[in-house]
Amino acid sequence: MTDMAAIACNATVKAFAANQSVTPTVGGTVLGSEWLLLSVLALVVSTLALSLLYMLASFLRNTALITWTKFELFQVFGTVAILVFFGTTIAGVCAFDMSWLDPHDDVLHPNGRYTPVTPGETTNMYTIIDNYFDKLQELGYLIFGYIMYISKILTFLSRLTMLSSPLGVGSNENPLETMGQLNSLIFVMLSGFITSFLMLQLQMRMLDYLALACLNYLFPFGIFLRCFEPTRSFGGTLLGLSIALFLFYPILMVFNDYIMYSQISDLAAEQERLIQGADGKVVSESTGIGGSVAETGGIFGNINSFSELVADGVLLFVKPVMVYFIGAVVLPVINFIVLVEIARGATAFMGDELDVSNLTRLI
Amino acid sequence: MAWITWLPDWTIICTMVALMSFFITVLLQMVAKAFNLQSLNMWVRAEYAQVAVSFLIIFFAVAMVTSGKDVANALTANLATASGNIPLNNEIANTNNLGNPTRIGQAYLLTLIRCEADIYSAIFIYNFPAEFFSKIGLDALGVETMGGGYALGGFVSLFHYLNNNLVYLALFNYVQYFVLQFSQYTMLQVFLPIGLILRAFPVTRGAGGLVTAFAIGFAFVFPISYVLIVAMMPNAGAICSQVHVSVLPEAAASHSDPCLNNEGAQMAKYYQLKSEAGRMNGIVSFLQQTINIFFLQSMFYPLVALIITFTFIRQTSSLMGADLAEIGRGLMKII
Repeated sequence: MTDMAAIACNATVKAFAANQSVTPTVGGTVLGSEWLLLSVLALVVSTLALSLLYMLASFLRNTALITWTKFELFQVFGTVAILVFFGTTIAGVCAFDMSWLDPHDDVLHPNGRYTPVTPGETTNMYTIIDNYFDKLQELGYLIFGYIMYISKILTFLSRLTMLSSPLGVGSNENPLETMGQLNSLIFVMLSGFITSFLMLQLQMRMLDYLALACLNYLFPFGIFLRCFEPTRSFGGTLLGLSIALFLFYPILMVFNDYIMYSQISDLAAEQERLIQGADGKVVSESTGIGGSVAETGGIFGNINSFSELVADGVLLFVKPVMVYFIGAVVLPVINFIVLVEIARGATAFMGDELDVSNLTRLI
Repeated sequence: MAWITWLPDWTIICTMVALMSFFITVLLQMVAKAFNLQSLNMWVRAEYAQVAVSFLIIFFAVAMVTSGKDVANALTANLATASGNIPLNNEIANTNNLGNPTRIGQAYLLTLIRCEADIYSAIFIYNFPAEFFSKIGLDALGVETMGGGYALGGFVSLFHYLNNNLVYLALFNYVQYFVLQFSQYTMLQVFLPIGLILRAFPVTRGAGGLVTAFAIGFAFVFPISYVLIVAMMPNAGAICSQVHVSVLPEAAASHSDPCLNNEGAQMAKYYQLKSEAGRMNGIVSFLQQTINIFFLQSMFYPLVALIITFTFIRQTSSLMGADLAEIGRGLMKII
């Protein structure tokens, strides 16, 4: 299980909501453990200053200054609303039960797919994401074992050498040398799988990082800076960024889980059944010619001829890796595009819009 | 799909969310009037227009889902019939495909993949004895007196090269197949409702417009454009038939018993290989030319279809409130 559920729902969120020092290893927020008090103080100071300014503007009957002061008071009100919204969301995100997404009526999951939680706990989005990542990791290990299993058999068969040299005269042959060219397909599959697995690990680490970064310095800094007019835009940008990353990224992952295991679940299940048979066989002792050929036949099912074995074998390798590629690469790429748009919208709404095009040029 | 069965229709959810957005806008207008904020007042008026557009887009999406499939099916069938592409017309006539461009595209791709697998098998079978004899060696007291590599190494390299290319071609076809399958099961069922919901709120309007355009693009535009391009371009049907009916069975028949574990079988295979040298040259040359057509089918056609689809997504997402043009180039670099 990833640390995200522990970080997001056990220590940090609860400490954040209670305005206490969070996660002992991190040592509290960047602004210290009393960031909420500082922010409220900043809001009060800002409001008082604007009120004085409003009174002065009314006394001087300066219409432009009155209008500006009203706008600034509205911005302070907006900052309070954002603080209340985010605080309520953080406090409630672990309590929001999302078990209604569980496909109980699906043929493949008659008892539901989500792991049952202990009494008193809820199936929140972090629980779903943890289960999703665990499932994908497990599938990844199975696929790797399957590829290695196939590679072991093919490499063994292709390296068989028959030697016969009585009195130093004889020949050496590799009768199944041509089986080695099937390894090129395996190497292609392996490189695709490794990319997918690394992307999956990256997603997991990103969620851990975002849970810490958004709660410990992005949001506190954003709220504090948004209280004052000169730094309001920058503070709004930080707020928009933290809301987009902390709230919407896990929501998108929940929908990834729904797509992988509800919409295309029969496809994923078919591939899991296929590769379950290879589990644990990489280190098996069946290394004789008869054993290897029998295992090859077992992998490819009822093969009537050698040509069918080759054709069907080529196609069989591709499907499990393709399904894994959808979950580990294609969906995260779509998530990334959507998240960038949400971050642009959120930062534009709360402060300065995030300049994605120039950022990407830098990269 | 628990939540879709629990709630009667995704259109109701999207309509309710749009109404929620409308009520929030009304509340903000009340705040603008209370505080006498002209800028907020102007923003609220623009938001009313956006809420109206949200309702229009929901209506448009329902119309697309309801009637778009029929229009797509009719368009695909008429153009494919006019093109005379026999494999494609066979898939359209196949009742299992229901006239659906996505299913037709997938069925056509499977035909291509099977054809590529047949060619792979034929080359593999012809390579079997050739590679054996290219690696054979005769030793006399530690000195290698004869090796087959210098005579047959060229053929073996050519066979390996052809099969490596076929692996990548089959892989590209499989990627297209899974993109179509993924689109079929997720675009209208998951991405479209999510896009409409996100579009209702100003903070997520850009993302919602993008996701909605993305869903419509990959649900309708990509399959239709792929099938239309396939219908209009040269196809590999005749070649695939020839490989399946003649080349592969001949290869299987002549080399179906690859027992090379004794000298008698090896000598028999050697003389068979020698006698087939001329015929094999012809077959290899034919297969080599065949692969060129598959490059067209595997790389060029989907590329054109994707360009059409992304152009559609870019223009439509701008209509719906996203600004993909601004970030598109940089995003592609990152991805």
